[in-house]
Amino acid sequence: MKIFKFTKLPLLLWVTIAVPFASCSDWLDINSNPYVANDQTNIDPGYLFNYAATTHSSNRQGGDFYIPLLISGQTVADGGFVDLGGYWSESLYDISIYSTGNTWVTAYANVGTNLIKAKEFALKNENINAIVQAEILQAQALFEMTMIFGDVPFSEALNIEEYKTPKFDTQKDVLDGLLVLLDDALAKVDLDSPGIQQYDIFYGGDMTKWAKLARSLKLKILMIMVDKDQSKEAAIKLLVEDDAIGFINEESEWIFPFFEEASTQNPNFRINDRYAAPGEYYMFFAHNSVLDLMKPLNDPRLPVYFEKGVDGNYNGLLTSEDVEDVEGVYLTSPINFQRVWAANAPDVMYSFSELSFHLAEVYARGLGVTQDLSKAQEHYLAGVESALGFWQIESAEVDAFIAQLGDISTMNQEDALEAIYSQVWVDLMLRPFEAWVHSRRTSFPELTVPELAPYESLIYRWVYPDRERNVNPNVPSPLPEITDKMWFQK
Amino acid sequence: MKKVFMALSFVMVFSLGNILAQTRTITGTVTGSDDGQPIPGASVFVKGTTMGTITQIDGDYSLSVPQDAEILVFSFVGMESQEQSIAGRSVINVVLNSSAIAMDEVVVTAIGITRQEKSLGYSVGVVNSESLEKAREGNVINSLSGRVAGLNIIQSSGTAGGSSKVVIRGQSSLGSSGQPLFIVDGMPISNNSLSFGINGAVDTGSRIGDVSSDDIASISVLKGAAATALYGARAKDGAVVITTKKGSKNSPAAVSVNSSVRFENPLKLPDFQNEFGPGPGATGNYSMNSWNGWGPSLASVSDQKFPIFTGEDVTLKAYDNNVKDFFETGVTLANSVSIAGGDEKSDYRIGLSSLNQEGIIPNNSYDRYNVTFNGGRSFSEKFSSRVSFSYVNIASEGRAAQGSNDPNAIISSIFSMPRTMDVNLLKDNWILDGSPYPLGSGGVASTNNPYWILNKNVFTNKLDRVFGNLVLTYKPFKGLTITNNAGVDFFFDDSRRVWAKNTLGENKGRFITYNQDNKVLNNDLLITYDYDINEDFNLKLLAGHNIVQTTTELVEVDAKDLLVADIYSYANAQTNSPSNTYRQRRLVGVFGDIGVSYKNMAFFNVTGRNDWSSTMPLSEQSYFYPSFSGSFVFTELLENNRVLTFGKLRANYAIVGSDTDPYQLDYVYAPVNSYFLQYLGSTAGRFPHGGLLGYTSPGAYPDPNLKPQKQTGFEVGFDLRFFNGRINLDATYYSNLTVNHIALVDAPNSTGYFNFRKNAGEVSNKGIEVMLGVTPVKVGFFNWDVNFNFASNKQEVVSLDPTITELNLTSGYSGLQIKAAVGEPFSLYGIAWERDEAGNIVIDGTTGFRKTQATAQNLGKITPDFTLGIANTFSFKGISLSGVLDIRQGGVMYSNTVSSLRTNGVAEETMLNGRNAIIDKGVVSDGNGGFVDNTKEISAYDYWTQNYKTSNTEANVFDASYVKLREVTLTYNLPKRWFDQIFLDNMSVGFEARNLWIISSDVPHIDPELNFFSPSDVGSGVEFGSIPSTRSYGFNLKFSL
Repeated sequence: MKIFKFTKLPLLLWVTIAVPFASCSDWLDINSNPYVANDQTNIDPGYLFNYAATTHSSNRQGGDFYIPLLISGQTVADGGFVDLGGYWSESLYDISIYSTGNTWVTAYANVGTNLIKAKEFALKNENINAIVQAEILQAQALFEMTMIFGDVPFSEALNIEEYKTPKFDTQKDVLDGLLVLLDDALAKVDLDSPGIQQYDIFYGGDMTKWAKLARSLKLKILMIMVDKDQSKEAAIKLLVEDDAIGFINEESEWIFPFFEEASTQNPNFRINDRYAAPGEYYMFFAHNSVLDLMKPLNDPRLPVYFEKGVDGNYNGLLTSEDVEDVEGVYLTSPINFQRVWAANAPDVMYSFSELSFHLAEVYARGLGVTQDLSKAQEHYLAGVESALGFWQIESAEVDAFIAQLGDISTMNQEDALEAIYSQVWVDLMLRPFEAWVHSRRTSFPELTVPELAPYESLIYRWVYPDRERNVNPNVPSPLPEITDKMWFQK
Repeated sequence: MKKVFMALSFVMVFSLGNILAQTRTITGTVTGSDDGQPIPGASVFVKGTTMGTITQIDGDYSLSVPQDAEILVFSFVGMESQEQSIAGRSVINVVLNSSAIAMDEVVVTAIGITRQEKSLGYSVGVVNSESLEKAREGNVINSLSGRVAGLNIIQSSGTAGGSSKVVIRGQSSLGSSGQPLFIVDGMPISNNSLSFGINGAVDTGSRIGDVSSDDIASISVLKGAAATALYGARAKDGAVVITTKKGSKNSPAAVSVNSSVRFENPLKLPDFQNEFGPGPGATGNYSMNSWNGWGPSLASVSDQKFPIFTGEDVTLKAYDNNVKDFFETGVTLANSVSIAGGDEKSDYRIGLSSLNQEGIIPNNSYDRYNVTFNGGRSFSEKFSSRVSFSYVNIASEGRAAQGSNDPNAIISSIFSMPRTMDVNLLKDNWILDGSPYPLGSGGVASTNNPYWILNKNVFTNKLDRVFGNLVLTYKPFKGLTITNNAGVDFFFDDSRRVWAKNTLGENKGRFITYNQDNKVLNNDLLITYDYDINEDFNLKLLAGHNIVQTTTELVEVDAKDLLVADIYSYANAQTNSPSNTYRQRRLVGVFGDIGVSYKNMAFFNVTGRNDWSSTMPLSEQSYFYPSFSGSFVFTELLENNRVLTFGKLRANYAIVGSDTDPYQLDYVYAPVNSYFLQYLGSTAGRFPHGGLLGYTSPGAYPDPNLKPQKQTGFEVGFDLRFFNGRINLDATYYSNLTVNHIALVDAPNSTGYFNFRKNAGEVSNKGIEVMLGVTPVKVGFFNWDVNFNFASNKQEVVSLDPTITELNLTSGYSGLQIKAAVGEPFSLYGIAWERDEAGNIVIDGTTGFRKTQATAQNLGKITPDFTLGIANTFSFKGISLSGVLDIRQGGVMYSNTVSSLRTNGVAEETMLNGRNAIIDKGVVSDGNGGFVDNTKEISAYDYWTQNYKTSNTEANVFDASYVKLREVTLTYNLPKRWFDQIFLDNMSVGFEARNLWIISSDVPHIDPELNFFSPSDVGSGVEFGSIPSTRSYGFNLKFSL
């Protein structure tokens, strides 16, 4: 049994020390996470692109972006501060720091950085079209930033190696920069080969659709700039008259889909599903700014958008007004949330109707092109038909509705524009960001400051988020107020 | 590593036969001179060695000693220690004289080294088993509250099996929560707690609570860098060193039984108004759809009938106790039985304990079972071994959700329940056709009946844990000891959150499972050499080597849209979203300690440790840090001083380096399965989205060249004992500076990132700790002892990264943050009132509401100015009565519960001015830059709902000072003669009570100690729908056979 004498113990103890030491550095070389990838791993740019696209639209549809814009932008009423209402303090222009912060973070970190990195991997794989796809989505995200916050970091943004505290560019410079970005993308695009395919949730790698979209986005931006920068008229003319690629059509609308499957549903659906109860408790109501345009025309979207009040009518409110009821039953029309915010309601980022109304306005005003009200009428009708088509309105109803609409080719410019803008406002009721851009650009419809809001003017911008203000010395000083107009506004 | 373990066990197994008969065993009994009663827990050791034992409950001991051992040393707290020559005796009975001081007290220090307290150059807080066994806490760490100066215990909630955060000498870190290292018999054990963030925060307990208090012989709290220097980086925030009970050699099997029953109820519930019913507020009308107290005055509608949620029409009346009646009386049964003994070569102790707790929230239970074994065996005079092992099994149910944004968070809906709600009606009508019984339509249509949550959405948790170690000791010749201590700590935690089908807010049903697998391996090799250079000088040398590996793996599955209700199988869910995280870290350390002593009077130690950490960049993997400590017993120079019996000065200086978390250096792309959605939760959105997955770049921009964090500490103190120990005074001053904090520094998001991870900032903590023990009365059998225990820590953020002036440590809701700002201690930040130069609150003249400042302001520090514990013990023969007062002065807390009680109109103070219009106290602008008194009247509803809403942080911030009666115990050791004739050896009965009474507090409605951040968060001082803390009282029976 004396196999192992105790005199050997020191040897053993020496082994205890020596074993870890002999290979100390190897033994300690475990500091890379086995469950993540690094720059050496060849990641398909689509994986990063899809994260960017999904978080972008989920923010656009959620409680940080959509609801504050919906309520403060006055296409939908909040119902005041009573038991039957929505309790949305955004009705008083109280935009939470989470809204400003998360929206900013989504654009720059979730979308921005991942698209920059997607472009790096795309370049490594010589997939130039993937760069085009990333740049177009990047342009949209930064477009949203400048439309919400005004002057924002652009030229020095998203380049942390060079700029730890990016400077803020003027809104004009940002918008011009976005036009350059889109032109670059269009110059690079190869229409005959795919970019990101499976992981392109929008177009499945159809680069012609992406090119159409880039041109449509250019038009949107030019429309915003043209009233402040007349040189953009020529650019509009060039864009509208060069028809080789064209603009988006009903087959190439820019739409991010949501699904019936749990946790991939539209966030607005989920918020209503969690906090509201059909027939019993609602958080969103018909706003007179929209209802007043729809009721005279008996718009077939009325039953799509709204539920009837207890009196059988569609009754609206102004922002921050209290819901009316009869013995606890709603007299005010709630938004028909189960219909308009269905589980699979998509995030419409650019619709054919929106584009058509832009073109109608271009011809109605003669922006760059010769004024042509007949062409305007064509686009106007296409816009209305597409807008109604989105809600699957029966064609007979569509025809009946169009029959009531005036023919703008017979109108003066002012009436023609009012007709176009009215249809835009009704169309964009459930796309609050685009609606807010529209109302600030056109001053249509005439909105009023909510009764209880402690401001003299409408809300025109959000304040910069806390974190950026705390750590970026380049944040404009003095800070603009939420009621200060932006550069693009009249 | 594997090879080494195998070789060691080989030694153990094959050598048992060879090594007998080189020791002998000495037994005996230790009694006290005052009352002749046996002294349990007295230490007995062979002089000049660490070989020793402690006496059993009957004062008996049995110690196996080497043949050449000459002298035994007997010591016990409050007794003069005694040396006895062995001189061939095998039975040595000793009577210890009371000195009420412990000049030769032995304490366990770093790496399990026992040292005489007087030789220590730093202060150590020691709590012995006696105080832990009396008022037994579910989480043993709570028993330390008020007993150790400089130790701050923050209990999170009244959840059964709830967690506690432990902070020693103030929080020093910007990047981590600053929890100390916990050691059981030399093995570092995990104190992890699973945190689900602030939405529906469930208090899942902290792992140190797994240890049974009945198995603990003593706890040493090592506070300063010098005390913990040998542990290195892991103990940068201090160490809590637990020594478990052992058996004694040469003693027959002794059985001890400790049994107690305890009852719990909420320590503090809100004060409610009982005059107004529910309603929408502005009108003062009744509405069954409101869940508040903003309806009509009950007196004004006593002649009318109104509908309630069950459909009946009733006359409204207040149920004054509806909230109180919601809570149940918690019952805890704590039982333990142990058997201990030994022969001449071996000793053993086997302990079984159970803790069965029913919480104060209906359906909340916590059941813990511990099996422990501690056995030692001397194979020869030179070679011995010891195995210590614990198995823990925990099952808990119904830990309630706190915080907000989760349908399961119920406390705020319980507290804001209409005063007219009969809670029994709610209890009896919670389900209707498989759905929550509707509480009405309108505003409450989306509120679940709380009993639906309690009955259906039960949080469950199961844990299996094994920890223990194997110690081999080899003493080749006199003075040299080689010890190897190899240990493991493995646990597997299986938790599940549930939202039953039809729960409002998760109506399709959902559950999330969390499986956490945690493994720690640790090995310490120690070589000590004890050498008497001459009669006066002694040299103690220590060299050590340490390796640690920690591996954690968490698998989380979020299952949604259940096909069949109440079946929590993944296969029953339409979608399952799994995710897994893995972390592994390794550390190698070598360390040494040189100790010189002169004539038992002057002691000096130098230590050094070098660590190699896997988490640091290659160039910074290795870091060295030294410590110096000394003590001087100056009374040795004074002859027979009858006033100052003992006096010691001590001083130390130390540096401790520390690493960071694993995987913080590389730029990586992580596959993600979830993303944040406002109002829906941090993981509400899931990939794959439409079949497509996602990868993302990191939020924190890494620094591949991080440097180790470094803490420099300096400490001086003295220990004075007057009149033979009737008065003891021990004071310490310390100053710590931590530099190179590894923290996340906010980056402008326009860079595309959230933070830079970098070395950023310096935090200093300076403080004093004073312990004063007085025995004012000592007459015959009567004894009165008072112990004061004072600590004051001043924290300051000295500097931060130049790009920032403040650093966010933790976020709550609605802009509330815990921040570190230069020149300030860690503080609570949030929205503050606008004030004029005289400090008056500025009121908007138009609305009559208070105006707020645009940017977040410092609303006060979260830590106290000082804490003071006062323990009184009266003893008379076998009767002992003791009480502990706990005092906290200074610091603030935020309470959302208070906000919710006020904005919902149920708090008593909302009766202000009889609910008539109120003119708020403050000033309004006169339009010319000046201010005049406010005259604008607003309704009571507007006053409370506007001014006290959650986002008005300042309205809900309170001074967190308190005076509490923390503990009262009464024990009676039954005279031995009563049961001499039967089999019992001794027996004691006791009454124990904890958290009895908040004697004073400025925080209305709630316990000022509540905190809803988990122990792993950096912040504290914020309460958000927290479960009320509990008062407990009960009875205890202890006997041994």
